[in-house]
Order: sequence, then structure tokens, then C-alpha cells
Amino acid sequence: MRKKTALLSLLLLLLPAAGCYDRREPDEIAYVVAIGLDKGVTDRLRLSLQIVRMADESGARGMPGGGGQDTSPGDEPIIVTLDCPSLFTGMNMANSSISRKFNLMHAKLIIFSEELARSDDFEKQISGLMRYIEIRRIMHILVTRGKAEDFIRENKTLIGKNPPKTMQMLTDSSALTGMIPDANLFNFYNDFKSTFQRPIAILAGLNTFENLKNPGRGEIQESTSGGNYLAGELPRKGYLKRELLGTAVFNGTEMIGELNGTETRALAMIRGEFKRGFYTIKDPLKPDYLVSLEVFPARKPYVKVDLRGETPEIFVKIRLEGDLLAVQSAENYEKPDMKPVLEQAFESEIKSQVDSLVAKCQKEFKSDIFGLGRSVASKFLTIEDWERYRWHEKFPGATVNTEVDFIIRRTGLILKPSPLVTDGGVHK
Amino acid sequence: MLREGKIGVFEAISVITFMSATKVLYSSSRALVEASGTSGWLTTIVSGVTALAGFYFIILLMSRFPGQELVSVFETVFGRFAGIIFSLLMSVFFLLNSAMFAREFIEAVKVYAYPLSPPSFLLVIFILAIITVLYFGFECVARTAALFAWPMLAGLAVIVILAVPLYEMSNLYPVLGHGPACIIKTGLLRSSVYGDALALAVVINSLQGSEHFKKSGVTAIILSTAIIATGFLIYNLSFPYYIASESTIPVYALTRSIEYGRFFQRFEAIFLFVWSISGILASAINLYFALSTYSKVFRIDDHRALILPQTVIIFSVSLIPLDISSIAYEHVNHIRQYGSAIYFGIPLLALLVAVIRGIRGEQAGA
Amino acid sequence: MSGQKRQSLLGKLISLLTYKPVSRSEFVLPELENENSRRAAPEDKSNLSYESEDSGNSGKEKDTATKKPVRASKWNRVKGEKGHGDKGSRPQEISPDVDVNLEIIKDEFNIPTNIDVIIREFKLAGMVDAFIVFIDGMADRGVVNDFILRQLMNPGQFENYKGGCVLEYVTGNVLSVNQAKKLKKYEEAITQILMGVTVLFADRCDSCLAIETRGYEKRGIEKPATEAVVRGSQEAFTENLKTSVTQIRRIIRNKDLVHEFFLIGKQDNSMASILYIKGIANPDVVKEVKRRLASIETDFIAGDGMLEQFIEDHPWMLVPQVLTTERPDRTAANILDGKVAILTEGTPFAIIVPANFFAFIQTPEDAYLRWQYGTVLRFLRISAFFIALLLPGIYIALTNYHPEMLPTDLAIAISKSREAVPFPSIVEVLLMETSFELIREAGIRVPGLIGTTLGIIGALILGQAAVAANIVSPILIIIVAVTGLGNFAIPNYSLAFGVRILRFFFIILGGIAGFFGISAGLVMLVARAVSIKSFGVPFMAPAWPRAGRSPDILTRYPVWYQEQRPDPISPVNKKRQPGISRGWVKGKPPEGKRE
Repeated sequence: MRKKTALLSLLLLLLPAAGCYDRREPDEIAYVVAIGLDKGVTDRLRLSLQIVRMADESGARGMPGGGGQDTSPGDEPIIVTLDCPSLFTGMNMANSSISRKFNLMHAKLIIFSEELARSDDFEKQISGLMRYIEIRRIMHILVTRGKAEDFIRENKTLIGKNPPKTMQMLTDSSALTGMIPDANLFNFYNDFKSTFQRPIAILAGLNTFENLKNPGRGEIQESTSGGNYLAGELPRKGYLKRELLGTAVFNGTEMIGELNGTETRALAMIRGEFKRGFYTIKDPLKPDYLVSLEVFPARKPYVKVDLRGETPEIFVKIRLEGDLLAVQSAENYEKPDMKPVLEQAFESEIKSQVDSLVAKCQKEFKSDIFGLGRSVASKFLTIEDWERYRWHEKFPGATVNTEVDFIIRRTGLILKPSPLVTDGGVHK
Repeated sequence: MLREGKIGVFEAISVITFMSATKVLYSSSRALVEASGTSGWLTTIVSGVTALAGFYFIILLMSRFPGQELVSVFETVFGRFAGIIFSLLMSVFFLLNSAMFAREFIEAVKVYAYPLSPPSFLLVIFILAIITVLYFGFECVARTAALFAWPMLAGLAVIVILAVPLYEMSNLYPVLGHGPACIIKTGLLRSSVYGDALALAVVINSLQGSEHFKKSGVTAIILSTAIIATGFLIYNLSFPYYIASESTIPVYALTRSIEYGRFFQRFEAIFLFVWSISGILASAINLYFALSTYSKVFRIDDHRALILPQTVIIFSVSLIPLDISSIAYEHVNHIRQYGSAIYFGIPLLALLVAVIRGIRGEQAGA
Repeated sequence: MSGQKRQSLLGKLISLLTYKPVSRSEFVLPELENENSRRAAPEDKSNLSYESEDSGNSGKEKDTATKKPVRASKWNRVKGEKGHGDKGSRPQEISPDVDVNLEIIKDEFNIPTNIDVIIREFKLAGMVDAFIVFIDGMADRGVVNDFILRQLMNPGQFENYKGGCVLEYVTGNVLSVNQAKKLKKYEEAITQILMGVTVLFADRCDSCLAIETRGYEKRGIEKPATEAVVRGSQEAFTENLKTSVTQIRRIIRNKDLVHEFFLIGKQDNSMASILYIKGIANPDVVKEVKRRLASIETDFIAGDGMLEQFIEDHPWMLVPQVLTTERPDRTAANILDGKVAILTEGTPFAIIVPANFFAFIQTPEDAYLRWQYGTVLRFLRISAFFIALLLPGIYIALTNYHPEMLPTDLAIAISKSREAVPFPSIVEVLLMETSFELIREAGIRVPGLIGTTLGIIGALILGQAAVAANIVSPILIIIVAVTGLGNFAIPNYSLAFGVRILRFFFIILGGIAGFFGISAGLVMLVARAVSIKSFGVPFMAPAWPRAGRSPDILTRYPVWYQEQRPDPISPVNKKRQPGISRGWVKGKPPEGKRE
């Protein structure tokens, strides 16, 4: 008995000695939060990795002071940029200067430069990435105008000092505004090889602050939806140059175009991914005034497909609802007989946006980024039949009819505004 | 006689479900997705129904010979010599299943979590756990399975529920995948997935009465079918068919893609536990049935004498395949496709011979 | 020669690895009453008659016959004579001559060397030679003085004495003490004396009279120290066996409550009682308990802790297999469930067998509170169990093997806090766990006054200083502290101890193979746990294996819902209460008071 116990414990003691192959202390890891990919100069690829700084706050000062004033240089990201044949070799090459093992598991963003995204190399890069265990498909995919390296250098934290949190919240704004698509690698890759639809990515850019014109230099735009800009073009100023706005559109192999913020919202509405957004339209009764609305989807869009004809006929009905935010003219749009006026104005506004987007995708991009193919596929019973139909070739010729349904549910804090007054104190 | 103790219906169901349903967590499920496109879940239901039909014949066979377990039934029907051959064939098949479970698990775990550990090291831990479970006999195997049944089911349910935002109905289109002919053909071919219910016939004397045998066998097949079909369904719902057939371990790929805001993501931890525990148990249960069949063939009183040699065999057999490709494309695939011949073919043959030769078992109690 | 040696070594190695059949003689409890193939409990070794009646008084004759206390020298002599059943040359029966008796008693008690034993010679009623023997301190002096000596020496009491054996007369007419029993044998008399009884020998009688005078110093009944409850009874057992039995009798006023008595220690004559309810408890279990108790041969048993180790099924297991409680109400409840309670002299605890895992995470409080609260408490305790068992192991596994499974912010927070720590995390964890255990152990051992100081020092060492010196990371302190809390929340001390040891097992497994190692460890642990038995009842019953539908395992259903006694211990009478135990739900309120 004793001998057997001894033998057994000896064996068990051998186990730890033999084990621990994959053990790695968490502080021996360099956590990459963003991966930037450019076309290389001396090699195929220029790789930029943004790494979380492990500036130790607890070490020197003993117990961390309960989140007190944080003056450590934790906000300046560490960025490694190098030319390499592939991401994986690149990480090894980067280790010649960075002492810790790179770990991509916690990466939040993968950023392609527009130049790379528009080239043949893009296809190779994407399919080369997906096999690696550390590439998690929940990271978001960005295409930046200009260089990915520059974007990463400007990818700073501002309000808080936590890079991963900032990166994650950055893309979360898609649910807040609808101006960028919610494009993570999971969806992108699913669509990339798709027979149903084409993939999209978030459009990013750096703003030079030049669009914010000095008084007297610019003119007021006619459009009112606020999203007619691409990333990097917003008339704004202040701190961060980084800007995420709009959509990068791909066909099966490479990037073929961009959508601005407004178009991205229309896209999201058809795809059924629209969450909420503020809209500003002209007052239908007094065009000098503006009306602001907060818009939510009422239900998923309704898609009907008819394949009997020569070309596929598709009918899309977008169903939205919204709250009144501001009525500058103080018209009583809350009254049941007045509400339809505003609702119809908004419906036609959205319909025109959607229609022009569909036209753009059919004519210019020839890409179904709406996922209409998914509805078409439901008409087929087997994969063979479906693949024989060749949806991607049929899409540009398809007839797409749209309809927008909008209803104002709530009117905010005011249920009946009193009219504005004139100088003389008389109601207008 | 081998002392196997008594187990209840719930324990029997757990044992068989661990043997059958665990397969959905491994690479072999990818092959089914590839073969059936969007209709993996339909295909596996066809397999389940086929297995139920097969199990009906096993019930017929066993009810002809009340009070006898499968090994002695074979000996009665085919005669001592041929019976031993068939029983040994089954024993070897259980052993092979166990070894392939072990290796499939090790390969998968190496890919997803332990890239640097040598397979033999992981296998040693795996086998230590198996030895512990087996050492205490069948009652222990069954109770361990029964104890882990609920946590494992809960783990799977959590994954199913958490993955809801990933579901896209249109990923199921076109509904019939590569066509109804393909569904039925693949479904029939892979009915061996649910063939494990046969194992209950080996330990039928531990199941108090043939009523329990029927009940637990049928319930286990239905439950496993439900679990595996759900697995395929959620997988097909989340990935379009062309991407679905890519992943090494489909369900793991799904788990990795779950994301709820900044904090609630990366749920593989749950999966890793579900995965390891059911892998160990599935392999252990298969090995136990191999031991049990072997012991009964050679009238060995104590299965514990065989544990060490058998685990050494498992260790070496599972290290025979050179790489994950040969496991995924060849070994496991062959086991799944030709397994039904062993699981259902031999009992069916026995039944036919018994009917033709007019052999019946002694009445119970005589 | 060396070759020979090697061969022998090889032979040894081979013998280590070769299979040797294990003889199984485990006690199993048959599942069904009328099952044919039941394996009977092994033959009863002692002659204990099963029908022995309730005996509130001391000593069963048949017991004491085999449990004769002997001096070491005599013990050796007797052993030399093969078997101590042989009585040697000394006469067994009490002699009618009081002088012979006096000589023998003096010899047995080593008088005059032994100063404790007091022999008082006197003349009964002034005419019969007699003496009483008692042990100073064990017998109540007041009783001896006032109710024995005074009356026996008063000739007035013997006016009607007609001759013959005086003891009959004394019992009937003289003594006003509640218990007096005639004994025929020396060894019985000696056993009684050792327990504090005063024994009277008189001339011309071939027997002696054992007069109940037990009265030694004992502790009063106090509040439970380790099983305090908010609601419910506030009394605990004391070291005194009789008091403890009385406490239970006070709760279960039932004629079928059987109290049997054993002498266990060969040298110290320590006592153990078993209590069960005839007609509820499974006779096989009772028999097995008696068999185990009767078979114990040892010098000395100091209370339930030692007794537990003598009777448990699997001494090598880390988990306890008998339930220990210091609460009479809990003991009573378990007795009423059909279990057997074993009480020992000397420790204020009762052992309850058979026990299963779920009993160890339950407290009496669960039953006293409303069922919703009781259920929540139980789930809390179960999670405490898992936290205490697994948390440090999971921490190691997560940080060292699977950092990708942590939320990013947490992963980075851990990495940052570890930046300046020189040790690998596993060393860090082991270090902190060890110091935690040290503080715990020291806290129990230090005199009470220093205790609080030690707590402060411990907190300082564990918390501030260790972090400030970069020995450990602050997150780890939280892990260790929560683990410690989890451990304290496990209500059973023995189980908590087992968990403390098992925790290190899981830390090491997590350290060598991450989650996979922990999973393998869990499988091993569960496989062992479901295969052990406590007095024939599977340890994880009634859940694994399933036995009946017990509504009181994890979720505690309402008390009126618990209609069956726990099934796995196969009580003779399974029914606790009828299907509708709240009769009023069937009836109607009186006329006019109805809605």
C-alpha cells in the first residue's frame, strides 16, 4: 500500500514537471488592441500594432489610490510599425524590439488602408487571417482613408485612459447613430464568401479640421440630414483627428466604394440593423423651419420577392417609428389630423434616400450589400438550385420597389405648442 | 460474474447521451455540415429516426432472451466461437471509439487552447481521469455521467441562448441543403452516431428489467438527437453554409463569436468545461463498455484488472493518426460511416439467425 | 549478485504493478425490502441481542462481560493465556464473606496506592459488617453522606429486619435513593464504581448493591458554539452523555426511541450510546452500527472525533462520512428521519449515520426559516462550496492559460497589477493560501486575548504590506479573501477542511493544465464521491443515484410538502406525513367567516 502510494505520488509529481507547456503569465503578454494593415514598401505588408501600455500604477505607489489622479503615461499607445510578408511573421519580427509575446485575442479593431482594400491583395489578406486562433471574429473591421498606420497613430484615448474600452465604445456608436455599420469580422467574413450578399466595413478617416470653415468662407448646405459626409470630412475641430463615419462597400474581392453617413443609415434600415438616430427634416408647412425626430425601427423590414418575371422583382417595406424632438415652427403636429402631414414628409424623405442608395448599389457598385439575396434564397429548396441562379449577376437588373412606413409615437415634453409671437406680441 | 451493480433509467440515459451527443462538440460534426449544407439538423434527425428503427430490432433481440446480456445472447445464437468473434468485434469497436474520442479531443484542445502542449501530456491527464472513473466500476461511471448530465446540458443551453443575436433565419436557406436525396443518404450513413444505445444491451442486467432497457434506450436516442439537432440548428443559423463547413470545431467557433457588450463576451470558458468533461466521460464510457464486453466474453470477474492494459492500448491507438486531417477526414469519418454495420448490423444478424433457427431464451426465472 | 538484486527489485516493481484481486466486504444497504438477491449484512460478531430494551440505566450485562477493565500487567498475563475471555484464578462471583470481598476490591483498585477510591467500612445497623466503595469526585458526597451512610448506620431503620441477606432489606426498606441494583460479579461492580456509583458490600450476602450516586462536576447546557442559528433552539450538547441523551428524549417524547449503550475504550471504559427509533430506522443500519461499535478494540476513545475514525467506511477519503452536530434538535430531527445517532461521553457532539453529502451543506436554520429563505441560503452555500473549492484554481487557469477568455479590461487590470510582482502566479497563490491557512490556524491556537491582535496583523500582512512590497497582486488578495469566506460559509467543519485540502489539488491542476486540468480533476473528484458509501448509503444519494423524490436536497420545499422520509436510508416507515398535512386546506372556514 505504502509503496503504491509512493509510486503514484511520484508519478503525480512528474506531471507538473512535464506540464505547463502553455502556461504564460498574463504580464508576459503584449495585448494588441488594434491591428493596422497597409500596403508595404519594402515587403508585401506594412503592419502596425497598437499595444496596451502596462505602465504599472500599483508598483511604486503601493496600494493603488482608488482610481485617483492618474498621471502615468498610460494614454500614449505603443505602436509598432514594420514591413513584413504576413501578419504572423510580422509579429515575430516585432518581437525583436518588443519583449513580450503578442496576443491578438483582445484586439478590438482591424484596420485596412483604403489602398490595400482596393487592391487584389485584400482578398489574400482576409482569407489568410481567419485560420489563426487569436483572430477573434468579434473584432470590428475598418477601412481607413489614407494610411492605417497614420490612423493608428491618431487612435488615442481622450475621456478615459483605457484603450480597449475606447476601441470597443468607438464602434458601439453604430447603435447610437446608425452612421456607421456594425461590421465585425464575423459578419464581414460570412458575407465575404457569400452567395447571398456582399460585405461592408466601417469607413474611417483622419480629419484635418480644415472643413470647419472660418466665418464667411463657406455656405449653408441645402441638405439637412447631417450625414452627407464621409469619414474625415466632418466640419469639426478638436482633439482627436480620428473619425468613423460611413461605410466601405466591397464586392467579392475588394473594396469598390464608399457610402456616407446618411446612406449608411438607409442601408441599415434595409438590412434591418438600424437601431436609432436623430433626423432633421424641413418643416413640410414652413420650409424655413426644421423638424427634428428621433427614429427607431418599428419592426424588421418586410421583403417580398417575385422571381416569376425575367428579372427578379423585390419589394421592400421599411417600418419605422419615432418621437418628436424639436418643431421650430411651433406647428401643432401633435394633432391627429396634422400628424400624417409630418409623417408623410418624413416617409418621402427616407424613401428618396433609400431609393437613391439602391440605385447607387445597382448601377455604381453592382453589389447587393442589403442582404436581399437572403430573401431570394428562401425561394430555393436546394443549394445547387440557388447557386445555379447566380444572384450576384441578377442583382443589378432587379427591380427594387421600396415603401417607407413611419408613425410618430410620442411628442416629447410638449403635447401642444403655443404659436410663436410676433414683435407686437400677437400670435402668428 | 462481473459485478456491475444496478443503475436507474436516468443514469442509463445519461450514459448513452454522453456517448452519442458529445460527438456534436467535435470535428466530425463539420463533416456532416459539409455533406448536408444548410440541412445538417434535418439530416441528423433522419439519423436519429434510423437509429430508433435499428434499436427496435435490438429490443426485439433482447426480449427474445430475457435475463441475458448481449454477449451471452451472441453466444446462444451464433454458438460459442462465432459469438466470441462478434462480441470481440464490438469490444474492439468500443475501444476504437474511445481512442478516437480521446484523440479527437486532444487535437481539438490543442488547436483551440493548448497549442504548445504535446498530445501525450494532455492524453496522460485525460487517461488519468478515465482510469479514476473506471476503477470504481459501472455504478460509478453511470452516476458520474448522471451527475454531470445537468451541468453539461445547462452549459449547452447557455450557449444556445447566448448565441441568439447571431441567429439569422436566412442562413437556413435554401432549406433542403443539397437536396432530399442527400439528406436521407447522409442521414442513413451516419445513423451510427446514435448507435451507442446498443451498449445498454451489454449491461442490460444492471438495468432493472427490459422495460427500463427500452425506455432508457429510446429516450437516450431521442434526447441525443434533440441535442445534436439543436447543435446543428444553431450552428447553421449563425453561419452561412459555405462558412459553416470551414470550422474545425463548429460549436466552438460559434461560442467564440458570442458578444454582449464590453464585458459579456468570450464564453469559451463554459464551452471548454463542457467540452473537456463530456470528452473524458464519453471516452471513459466507451472504454468501460469495451472492458465489460471483453470481461464477459472471457468470464473475467473483475474489470479492474483490465483497466491499465486497456488504457495503454487507448494511449497508443489514439496516437497512431499522424495529424488532425487524417483524423477528421479519415479515421473518425470511417467510424461514423461504417459504425452502423457494427451497431445495428450484428444485432440484426443475430436476430435473423435466432428467428431462422428458432432459438429462444429461457423464460425469466427458470 | 547485483543481477540478483536487480531482479528482486524488478520483482518488487512487477509486484507493485501486478493486479491483486481486492476482497470486497463492503456493507451495502439493500434497496428494496423484499428483494431476493439482497446481500445480507455480514454476521453479527457480538452477541448483541437485537431486541434489547431501552435502558436508561447503566451497563448491559452482556457488554460488560466482554469489556472487563483489567490492569496492564493482568492484561499481559491474560493475553499470554490466550484470549482475555479466560478469567484466570480469581473468583468471579462475589463471596458471602465480606472480608474476602474487601481484600479483592482493595487489590483490584490498588489500594492503598490509589488514593481516589474510598472504602468506608462500617457496621450495618450496628450488627452486620459492611463497607461501601466509591470514587472520590465521581460520586456525589452529599448523597453518600445523607442518604446512604446516615440511613445504613441508623439501627432504627432495621427494626423489622428478620435476618437473611441484608441487602434485600436495605433495598426495600432503608435506602431512599432512586436506583439500587444487585450485582453478582466483581467486574460488574468495578465497572459501576468507575462510573461513580457507590457499591455496598455486606457480610453474608453473595451479591453487592450498586447505589446510584453519580454526581460529578459538569458543564451546564450552553448555546451552540459552531452551529448557531437565528431562529430555533439555542441549546447545545454538553460533554455529559446522560444530559445529552436527556436533551434528545426531551425533544422526542416517544416510547420507541431506543437508547443502547456500549463501552468502547478498553482502558478508559468510555461510553457510547446509540439512539434510534424502532419502527422507523432501518434495522440493517442499526445492526451495522452496533456491529461496528462492538467490534472496536482500542485503549481509549476520547469522544466522537476518535469514534468517527473507527467506524467510518472510507478513512482515506478527504470528505467526512458521518455527520457531526452539537445540536440536540438537529440530532432529534435526524433520528426521526430514520437515522442513528451515536453519542459519546466527553465531547458535546453527536454522530449521525448514515450521512450524505447534502447533509453537510445543510444547517438546522434551513428548516426553521420559511422555505424560500431556506432555499436561497442553500444555494448560497453551494456556491460557497464551489468558490472555496475552485476559485483559486480557476484564477490560475484563466490568467496563465486562457487570458483570452477574460474580458479585456479585466485581463489588462490583472496584468497591470502583476507587473511588479516577482513570483509566477501559482507561487503567488500558494504563498497567499498558505499564509491564509497559517493565520487561520494561529487564530485558533492563540489565547483569546491575543486573537484580535492576530487578526489585525494578519490583515496587515495579507493586505497592505504584501501588496506594497509587490509580493502579491491586489487582485489575488481579493481571490484569497473570497475563497476564505466561501470556506467559512460551509457549515460542516470536516467538509470545510476537506475542501481546504482539495483546493490545493485544484490549484496545482489549474497550474499544470488550465481548465482542462480542472475539468479532469472534477471528473476524478466526482467519480470518487459517487462511489463511496456511508453505512451502506451512497454518499451522493439521493441525487446520484436517484432515490425517491426527496423534496429536501438543494431546494428546500415547504415543510408540509415533505411527505416522505429520505429514501436512500431505507427507513422502515417511509411516510412522514399524509399527502395533505395541513388539514385546514381541505376543510372550510365556519359559516359566516367565509369569503
